[in-house]
Amino acid sequence: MRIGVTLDLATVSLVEVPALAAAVEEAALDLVWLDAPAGRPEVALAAAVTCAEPTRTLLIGAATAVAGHHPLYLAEERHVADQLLGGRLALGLRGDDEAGLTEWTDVLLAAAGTTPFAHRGPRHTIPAGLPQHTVNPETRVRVTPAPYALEPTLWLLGQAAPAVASAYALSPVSEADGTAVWQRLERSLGPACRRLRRPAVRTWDPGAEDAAALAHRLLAERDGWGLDTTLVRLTPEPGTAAWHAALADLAVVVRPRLQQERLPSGLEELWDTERTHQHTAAEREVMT
Amino acid sequence: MGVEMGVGLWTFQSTVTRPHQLPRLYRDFPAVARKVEQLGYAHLWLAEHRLWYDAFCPAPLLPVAAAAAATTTLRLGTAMVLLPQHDPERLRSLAAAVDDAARGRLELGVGLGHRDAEFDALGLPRTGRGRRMDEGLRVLDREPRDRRSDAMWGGGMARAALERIGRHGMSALLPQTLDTEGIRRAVATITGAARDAGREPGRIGMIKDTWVDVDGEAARSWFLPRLRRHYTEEAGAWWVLDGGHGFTSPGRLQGQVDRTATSAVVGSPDEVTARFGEIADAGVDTIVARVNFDFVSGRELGEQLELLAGTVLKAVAA
Repeated sequence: MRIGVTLDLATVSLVEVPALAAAVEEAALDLVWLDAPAGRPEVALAAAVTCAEPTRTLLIGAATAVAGHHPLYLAEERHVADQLLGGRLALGLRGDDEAGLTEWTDVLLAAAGTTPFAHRGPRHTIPAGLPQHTVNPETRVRVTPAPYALEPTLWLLGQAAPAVASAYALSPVSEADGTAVWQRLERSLGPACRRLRRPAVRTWDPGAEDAAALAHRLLAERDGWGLDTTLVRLTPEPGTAAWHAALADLAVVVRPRLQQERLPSGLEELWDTERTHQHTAAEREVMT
Repeated sequence: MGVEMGVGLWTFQSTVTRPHQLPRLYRDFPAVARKVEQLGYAHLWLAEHRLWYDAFCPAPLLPVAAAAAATTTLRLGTAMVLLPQHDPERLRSLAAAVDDAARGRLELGVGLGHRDAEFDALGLPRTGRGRRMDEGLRVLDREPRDRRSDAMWGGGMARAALERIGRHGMSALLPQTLDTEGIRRAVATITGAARDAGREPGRIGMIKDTWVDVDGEAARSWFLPRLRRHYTEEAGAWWVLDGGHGFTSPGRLQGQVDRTATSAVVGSPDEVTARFGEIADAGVDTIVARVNFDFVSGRELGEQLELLAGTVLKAVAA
């Protein structure tokens, strides 16, 4: 299972993002997931690209949303961001209205190809074919640059995500129990479901729940509906000692317990014994 | 001379003249920006166009954000974001976010755009671009302002464009084909419009296609044919001449290419410094030396940035 950490851009300044992302990479976790503030979906990709140089291998997730403007802006920015990040971008697109999320998904997928396309949707026609445009008018357009990745990651969020995910064989990001959603996807997609990651956002308060208990909570979801990518929303404030300690616990306590079908008897006990010789997260916070 | 000097234009193109690996252009960009900063340039500028075979960057504010994380003092500008092609509220929000990432170092230049295909893809009529520019500027210039007015830049040489720059207290990036008398007239128009609107006029800048070599003749013989080829393709395919694209009006296309080549500043360090001095004397306080073109390799660009910094930059900043 991959483990990532979310950052809420409503509370984290963009100038802080590169160092926080570097810390997530340094902790040997897999992904940082940047949530755009409400009403400002365009901020997510701007934050994502600030990680381009400070990180080298970390996957960078950017959660944006369907909005009232034209979807080509997002398609273009997604491709430029993926180029800057060397193919490490995972885009999350949130939508509660099925028609809107469908149209934006359709445009993003068409734009990510490398051939010219046209789109006729309920809100947007691309290209518009306005009569006053007479100098080299085009009936299909190609969005450039292409994304770096051959099949750039697009995950869906929001109330319309399950229906649109089913239509386009994309992954919905579970923000609650994923059982029903993934049962429906398995029925509708059949073996194509194998291609899909099964991500979820889960909150963890290290002060209220031991890291090993979190691991067992995620194990139950992994073995239940197939959770394979957890985006952990940490309750400690990003950048604090408690937050850094939580990253370490995710890396050395949680993730190892999620990789095998089961662990040989005695191994968890060994790890727990070693932990007692290491400083706990709370102790490290006090020391800091 | 006391002129601020920056460099441009980063466009992330891969053309027939010189194919580039796009991922390398983008991946290397933050490090290039850091080098530009270390060499002492005041700013670095990027441009915007969309939907073209060479992958011209359609979203320059994102590379700006990436470079912001790799630099500390270099100001990062757009020349230009094509404002009438954007939703102005969205652009205002995005620019504010990028400016945050850059700790206030964004220089937001906005221009009109001119390709029918770009407007059409976005469902916007090109014929309404002047009105959309005014509407967009009202949004970007709305209180509370996200940045100093003079960190907003406008382009153009038509009287309406210059007066618009003045009315909003913006800085100007004048087209390189203006001669010194044209610069003086433009400055007067901008200053007058600013005063009429009760605004302080912004800075006066100019982008100049530039190439320097210790041997001035070598600079001209290497650069000018390549520059002419560059503008033949760009103006031939894109610019509207006599109601059609440039290749449909060969005579006018040749004239446009001649004008751009003639106005380039090319030569030895002393020759380039002298030309920049004439521009400064006419009222320009900010020069953007355009040394980055599709036909310039990464190695050639690095060498040019170093030579320019070690010679012309020192002289004009003094």
